[in-house]
Amino acid sequence: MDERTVIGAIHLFATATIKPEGMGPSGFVTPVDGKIAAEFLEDADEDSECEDAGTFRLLHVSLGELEDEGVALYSVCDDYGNDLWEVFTALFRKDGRFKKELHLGKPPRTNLLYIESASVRPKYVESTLLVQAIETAVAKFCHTGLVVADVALGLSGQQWTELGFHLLDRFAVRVNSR
Amino acid sequence: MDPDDIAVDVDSSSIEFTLSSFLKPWDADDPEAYSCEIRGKIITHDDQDKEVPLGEIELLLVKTADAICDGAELAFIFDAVGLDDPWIALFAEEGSCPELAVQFSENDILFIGKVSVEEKYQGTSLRIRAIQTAVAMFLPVGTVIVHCDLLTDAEWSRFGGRQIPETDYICVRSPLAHP
Repeated sequence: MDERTVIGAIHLFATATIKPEGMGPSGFVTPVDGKIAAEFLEDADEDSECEDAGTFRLLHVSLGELEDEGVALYSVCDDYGNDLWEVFTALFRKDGRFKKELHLGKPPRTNLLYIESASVRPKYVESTLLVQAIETAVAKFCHTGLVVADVALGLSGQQWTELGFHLLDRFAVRVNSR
Repeated sequence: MDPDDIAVDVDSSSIEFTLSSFLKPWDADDPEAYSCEIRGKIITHDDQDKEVPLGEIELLLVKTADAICDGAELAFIFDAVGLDDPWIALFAEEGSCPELAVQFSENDILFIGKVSVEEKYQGTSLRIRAIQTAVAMFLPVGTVIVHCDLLTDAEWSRFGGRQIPETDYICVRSPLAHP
């Protein structure tokens, strides 16, 4: 593990559909593309600049909008397909409640954030950069709600646990609430 | 071809948001870390699939709950983002705003600084739907502050907003009431 402090920023780009009536369920999913700019603190000086250090992609679903529009999360994940459908089938019953055996309580009514992919350059793999980037993105898009990521994303089991995630078979899951 | 001859479908519009944030953990002594400017381009595509700008939206998200949790001073944060004395007096006392019954340890603040749409779309619901989309995305639960000039009194009252005493600003609780 590289204990050196990493500083930097994330830059995010999201295209959200303005909801018209009659929009297909997958229109409620907003992809978010992120770039990570970083450097080790010990390398930083007045003239240095953060370098491109990684990328990530998130899928954001506003659960409040679904409720307002009377759209089921089941329909959204089914319509969007791929990983989001697998997230749904792993965590939820068709009526939108969590599967009882997961002991996750009541599902949030605010956000669902799925971390679809995330990676950093090899020099940062042993550092905390990926953890920092994920935490920062979650703070922006899912300070309350359900955060889901593939456990194979690049963090160790211990790192997921330290971040407060529950480890299921394929997914790491955290419910943020205030 | 006259641009007005090209069919534009406002109902299939979207907002391209861009924002940046310092990496966490944020430093309680660095007030700028707890705020984030969000810019949005409201666009659609014409029948030739060319991007058509419809308007803009500008937001400022202040992570007051994180700030309080980290021991940062709200007054410094509001000062750093350019909010003047009345705002600091209103919001920074004891981490709450009694006039609005808001506890900032539990509620972030989203300031809506600008929502503009091209003149030909002024009569549509585009501004309201852009605000709904932005709030649902960035602050599904919390406190939204907007200048009273941005929408009509009737529009804000439908959102459940109310005027902040002695200011020209409206406070709206998120989730927004459904107009």
